Amino acid sequence: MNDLDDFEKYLRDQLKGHAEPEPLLWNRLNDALGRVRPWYAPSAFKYAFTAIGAMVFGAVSSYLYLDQQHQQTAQIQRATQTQKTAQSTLNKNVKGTNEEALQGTFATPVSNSSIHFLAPTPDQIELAPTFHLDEAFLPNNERMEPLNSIPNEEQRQFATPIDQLALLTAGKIALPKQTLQNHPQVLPLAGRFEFSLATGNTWSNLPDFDYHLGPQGMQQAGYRQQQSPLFTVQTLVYKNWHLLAGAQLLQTTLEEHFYHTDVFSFDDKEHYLFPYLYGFRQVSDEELHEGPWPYGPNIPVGPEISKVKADYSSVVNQQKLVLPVTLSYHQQFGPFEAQLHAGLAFSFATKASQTLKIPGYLPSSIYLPSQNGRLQTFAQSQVRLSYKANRHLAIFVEPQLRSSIRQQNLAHASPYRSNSKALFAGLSWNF
Amino acid sequence: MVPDTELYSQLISDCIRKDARAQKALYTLFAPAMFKICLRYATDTSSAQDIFQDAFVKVYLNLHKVKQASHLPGWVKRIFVYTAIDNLRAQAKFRQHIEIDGAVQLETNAPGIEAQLAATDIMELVQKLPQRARLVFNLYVMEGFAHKEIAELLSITEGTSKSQLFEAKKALQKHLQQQEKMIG
Repeated sequence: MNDLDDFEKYLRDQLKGHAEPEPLLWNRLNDALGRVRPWYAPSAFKYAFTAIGAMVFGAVSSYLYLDQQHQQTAQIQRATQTQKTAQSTLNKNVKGTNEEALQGTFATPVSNSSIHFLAPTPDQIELAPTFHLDEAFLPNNERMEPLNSIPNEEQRQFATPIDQLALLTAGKIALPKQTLQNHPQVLPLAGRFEFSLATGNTWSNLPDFDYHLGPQGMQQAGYRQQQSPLFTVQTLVYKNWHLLAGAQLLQTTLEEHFYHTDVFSFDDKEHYLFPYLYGFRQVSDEELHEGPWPYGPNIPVGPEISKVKADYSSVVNQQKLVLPVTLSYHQQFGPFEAQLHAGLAFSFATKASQTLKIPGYLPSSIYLPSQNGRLQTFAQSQVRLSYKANRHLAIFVEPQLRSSIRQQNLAHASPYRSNSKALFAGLSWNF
Repeated sequence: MVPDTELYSQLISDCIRKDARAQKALYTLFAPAMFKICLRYATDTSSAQDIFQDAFVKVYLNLHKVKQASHLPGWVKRIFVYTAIDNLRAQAKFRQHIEIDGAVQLETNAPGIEAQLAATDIMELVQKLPQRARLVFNLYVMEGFAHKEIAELLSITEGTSKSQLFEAKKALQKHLQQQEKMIG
């Protein structure tokens, strides 16, 4: 134990002891203890597993699809061959039976070929039971069965009953013929469209802030990143040149922290003006209940003007719909493909809001009408590197750069040109 | 202290089994003293609550590391002190603190003046100390750490630790004097 002087001992005695925490803290702690851990892997593993998962899924699904297609094609080919065999057999049969008819084998002339090839040989006729002649022409007559059960030479060639069925139905099944004139129906623009779905992160630059926060005031800012989905469609324009159009949902969060900052009140209603990037957030004195300000009470600095020093945070959330339109050049290297894109991106702010957080008060949010519906135009370039799992499916990564074409004038920053870089990963489907 | 040891041992084993009643009992046992520690290290009540929660979560998750049940109170206190230091280090990266300068040297043997101030006022004054001075003050005066230990813990020199303690005392004396004038 240290040798403390009287003053230190006095302070120690005053400061030791107990302080009852708020009852809600136990609930808060309980929530923290009972919180379910997220199942997904963080950071780089997340991307690696997503990519591997996408590759496995793509490879398996495309294998199953192609295997199914292959089986269908093989089945059609088998059926076509059987049809050809049956046709040739039928022709022989018809020829043979006509000759027999001419030799007087049958008492009555018959013209139906399906009956002709079932005709028995003279030896079989001797062994066969006697029928009334009319019964032989009755359809579905059970007494016809003994006649059917006697196979001729041609029927003996077919090993299974299914082969015989093919013989019976020969010439009656309308199978499409695979010829150059009669090829399978395909989409008119097949091979010219590519759809893709990706997700990625965007990193934006910060403006040069220009605040007057007071002698000891300090401000720090940063963008909070969120995953954003990107959907694109590409169409072949000429040879290796493609045109891309897409849609991206982007959410940006600019978080500013202010410490020991001068906050002024200029009117008789004592509205306090908290500076943030796009202007001042006005909060009435009634909402603030006269403090408690961490650095002392209001200081009157003129008639009806007073100031306090405060710590606070401003969080500006913006949801944007970004529509990129680019021209791209595609170059294939075996299963890999590189696409160089250049073009424009149009960004519409669909929702903008600001949340002011002051320690000791509930956070207060407002919409920012001046930012809602704002259109920004960016020059965009990107490189898409894709690996084709098969002729339709590919996975890709896409680094992207955007730079705003016009400078933006902000309330508390130098004229600002917004730049961003992004990295996407996704799947594409080539039609 | 056998009963305490038994109690601690029982609490530890039950908490490791995530028994909610044991967790609540452990909380009830240590929360008031530990919250006071958090208040001393933090800049305000809100920060103190954050430290308090982080530290308690660490306590629950690491109870299996307690080798002797009788060491539980000291172990819990150490977790809270270190969590507070970690928390303040993280804050230091983006936070500027008030510097209290121009302090007036007071007589060190004058408890009569300060006695008129409530402990809560002194706590507020401690919370307003610059971060490093507050840390050194707490570690030296309240936890009984030597300057050498503080220096190692905070990655500063022993001389810095001494000067920070001096600064802290000086600033506290100045504020106490001002408040005494206001009272007087």
